[in-house]
Amino acid sequence: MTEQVYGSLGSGLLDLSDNLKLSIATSLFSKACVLQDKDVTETVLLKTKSGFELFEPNAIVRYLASSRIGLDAFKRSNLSHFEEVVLYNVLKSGKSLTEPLLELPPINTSSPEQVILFSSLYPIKDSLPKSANTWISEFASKVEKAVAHAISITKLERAKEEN
Amino acid sequence: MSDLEQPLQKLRIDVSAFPKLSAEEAALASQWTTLALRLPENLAKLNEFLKTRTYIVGNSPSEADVDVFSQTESMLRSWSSIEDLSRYRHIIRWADLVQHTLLEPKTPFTVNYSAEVPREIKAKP
Repeated sequence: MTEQVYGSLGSGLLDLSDNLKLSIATSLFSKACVLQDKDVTETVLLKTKSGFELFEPNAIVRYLASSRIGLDAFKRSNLSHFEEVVLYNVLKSGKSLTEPLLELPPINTSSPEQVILFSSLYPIKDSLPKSANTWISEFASKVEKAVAHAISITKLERAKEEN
Repeated sequence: MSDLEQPLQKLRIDVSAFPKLSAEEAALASQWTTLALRLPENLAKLNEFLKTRTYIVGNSPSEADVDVFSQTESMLRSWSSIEDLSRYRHIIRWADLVQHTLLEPKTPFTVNYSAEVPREIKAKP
């Protein structure tokens, strides 16, 4: 194992999304396990033996995928921008998605961009249209163990309702 | 990516002139391109990161410098207090280098190098 990957110890939707990204990416692209250690970090982190570090989950997914598909792992489309701006704010705020969902691509679990997108849609799946849920369910069935692992290490707490 | 398709800044050098990135460099570029979309919440992290680096991916310029610069530009122009100059000194140093080496800004932001900024306090390891 050449890298250590640490998952989030947080309890929000964003933490579940982060842990999904890492659990799925390690299961697909790496031999590493997702660790959790509050003495090292409470947020996500990738460390290599050479001292290289990343702390942004999407970059970690792409870096792990690059060992399989090379620098294509870092290509971005409009899906990336949607996930990084729109879905990030939805997950962080706990508010509903108000912008229209982009057309979801044919499922390809080898695509780091799709791993990232799935991981940010899964925590809010109950509030999404049926067509999106079909895509999410099908993707989830292909990475079942990793999804179960991410759920098992994330102590999700319901956001307090605002008066 | 829409930000790349419509760059805010005219480039001084051809994008193809940027050195080819390794996987680690590309990951760093990707990390900061993402985090720069979520400013100002990541300004402190960016400042700390640039403390020990000339450019986003290390010693060589890359497209990530242009991407991150375009996201920080409006903030750079608003920083005039000693507090801001002190708090974001590494971002300002990096951005001034980027605007003078990689970009051709019509109206470059100005850095007040004569401002009496307090010395940086190094955190104990």
